[in-house]
Amino acid sequence: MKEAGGKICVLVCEDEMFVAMMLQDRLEDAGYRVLMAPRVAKGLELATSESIDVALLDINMADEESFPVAEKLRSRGIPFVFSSGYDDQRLPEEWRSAKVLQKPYDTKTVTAALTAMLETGGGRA
Amino acid sequence: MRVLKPSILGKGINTPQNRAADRHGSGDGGHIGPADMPMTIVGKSKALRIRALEEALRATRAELQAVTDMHEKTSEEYRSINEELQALNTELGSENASLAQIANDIHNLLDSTRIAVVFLDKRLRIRHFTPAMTELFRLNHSDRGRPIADISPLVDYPQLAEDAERVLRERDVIERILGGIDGHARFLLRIRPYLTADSMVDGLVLTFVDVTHSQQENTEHARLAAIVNSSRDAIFGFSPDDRIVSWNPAAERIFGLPAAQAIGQPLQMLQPQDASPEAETFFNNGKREQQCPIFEMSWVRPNGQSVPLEVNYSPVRDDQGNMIAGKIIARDITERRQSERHNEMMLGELNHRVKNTLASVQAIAVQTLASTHSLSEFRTVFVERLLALSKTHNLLASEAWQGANLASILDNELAPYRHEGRQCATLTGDDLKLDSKAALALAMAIHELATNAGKYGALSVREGQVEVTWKIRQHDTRPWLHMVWTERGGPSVKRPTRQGFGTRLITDGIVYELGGEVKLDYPSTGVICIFDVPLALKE
Repeated sequence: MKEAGGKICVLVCEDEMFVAMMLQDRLEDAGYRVLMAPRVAKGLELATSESIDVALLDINMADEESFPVAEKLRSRGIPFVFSSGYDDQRLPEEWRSAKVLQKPYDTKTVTAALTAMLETGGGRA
Repeated sequence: MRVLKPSILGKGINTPQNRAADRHGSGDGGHIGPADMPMTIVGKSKALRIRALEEALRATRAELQAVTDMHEKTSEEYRSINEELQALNTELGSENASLAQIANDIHNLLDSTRIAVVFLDKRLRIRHFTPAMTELFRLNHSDRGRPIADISPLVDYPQLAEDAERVLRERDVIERILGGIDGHARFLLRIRPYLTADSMVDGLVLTFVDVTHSQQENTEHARLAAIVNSSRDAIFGFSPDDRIVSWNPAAERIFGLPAAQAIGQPLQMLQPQDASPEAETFFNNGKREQQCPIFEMSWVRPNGQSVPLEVNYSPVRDDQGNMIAGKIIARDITERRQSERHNEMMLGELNHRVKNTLASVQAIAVQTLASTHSLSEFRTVFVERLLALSKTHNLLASEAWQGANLASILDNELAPYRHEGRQCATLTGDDLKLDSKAALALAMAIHELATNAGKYGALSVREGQVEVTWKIRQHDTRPWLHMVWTERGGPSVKRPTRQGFGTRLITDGIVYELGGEVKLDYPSTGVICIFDVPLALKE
């Protein structure tokens, strides 16, 4: 599902501006087309309308949880990885098997995780 | 008691006449005294006279026989009366003895009692008193007959005469608690009328019972009861056979059971279904240790509400060390549990915040590194950004992370330029507390504006001025911050050729983080930055 320019499109749901700016810059540097969503509503909108290859979802976004975005991505068969600042993020049963990146993370870890997701399709059909 | 008939009494009395008759009757009746026979010497008439005499003699004999008979009968009656009298005497004698015994008993009782009793006559003069009275009223034997009012007692009782008059008048009983004049002892005084056998009032009986000890016990009991009743912990007792015997108001509240439903019930009714091994051991009378460790259990109230309890048991022992009762203090630890959960949550939240902050710091470092040209420039810019972040954390921490004041954030960032009393910045706006998210984001933007002004703008020259004004306005049902940063008097401004990290943070960063709009303009008179950002997340 690569767009015309051949770039892989990644949706980044992240409410913290410094982290968001860093991810945007690093991922763009790494050759991705990056869509940024500071709120769940924006993430949901992009996940519905845009052509996305892979996503990085911060679980806690400005007092909301990003599970509705995850739901939408799953329904479209788009692989994604969660990120969280909580040690033991008690994931709801249905997301128990999803991959979670612990904050703070190296941008190399992020690109590696996204690449792995793209290759395996997130382990999902 | 036998009753003597007057008729018998009359006949039986030992009179002199009777005694004479007795003597005459004892002589066989054959002898006739000379006074009864006139002397004549005529034959025929002599025979007639003899016959007459014999006739008289016979009559006399018959009469004598009758008298003798009657005497014997009287004697018999007399003997029986004697016997009766003897029996009566014996009886009276024994009754006398028991009366003496009773009198003696009463005497001993009055002498040995520690209750002070004084008997007064109707004019309130002392008639009799018990030994205890000698101490209390300083009485001695010579005081008998003296009016009680003349004696100054060791009790404080000025109303004595008044009360006494009332009891005499109304045949009433008066009770009073009197204080001793030493202030410590207390007496229960009871004044009763002294009644004679025919229920006439013939004086007064005053008894003084020393109730000092029982009053002290009452006071102590009341004090302990007040503690138990006002306790926030359930306190209740049970008998050695495990029946609940007391139940304080907190127990009613904590267990949701009124005292009437708990008292008398077996202790085991409090045993929870899912009792811990400690609780199970406690509720088994046979296994219960003398000193049970404190254990926790949960209790389900009749209304279905569950309450966690900490239970503390101790036995109550008598002087010999025998267990005579058990006492339980059960504490509702709902709040403690909540606070433990809260602490856990707070620790989790703190951990989350630290990690997020580290993620931000990492991102700032990465971004700063990408936008600086030398290590020394990186060091200066990065450390200043870290300090801006840290100062805002300080502001938030001082308010328990409930928010930070916008004016304080501005003061923090402008302080380095206000040295030597220089009035380089004016702040005008409402008192506004920003939540932590808005405070951190705006503080970083203000830091970038101030740094830029210090390097190239109004704060880089003595004459330069920065004016910051702000106000709150309502828009789409949310409060919005309208803040204007205006620089004047600085060097002529040119729009920068490339957008650095600072500029991106002020415009894109703030809008990304908070929403709304940020306009950054570069007229030649000085930088103008207008923030219009919502202060609540949800629309």
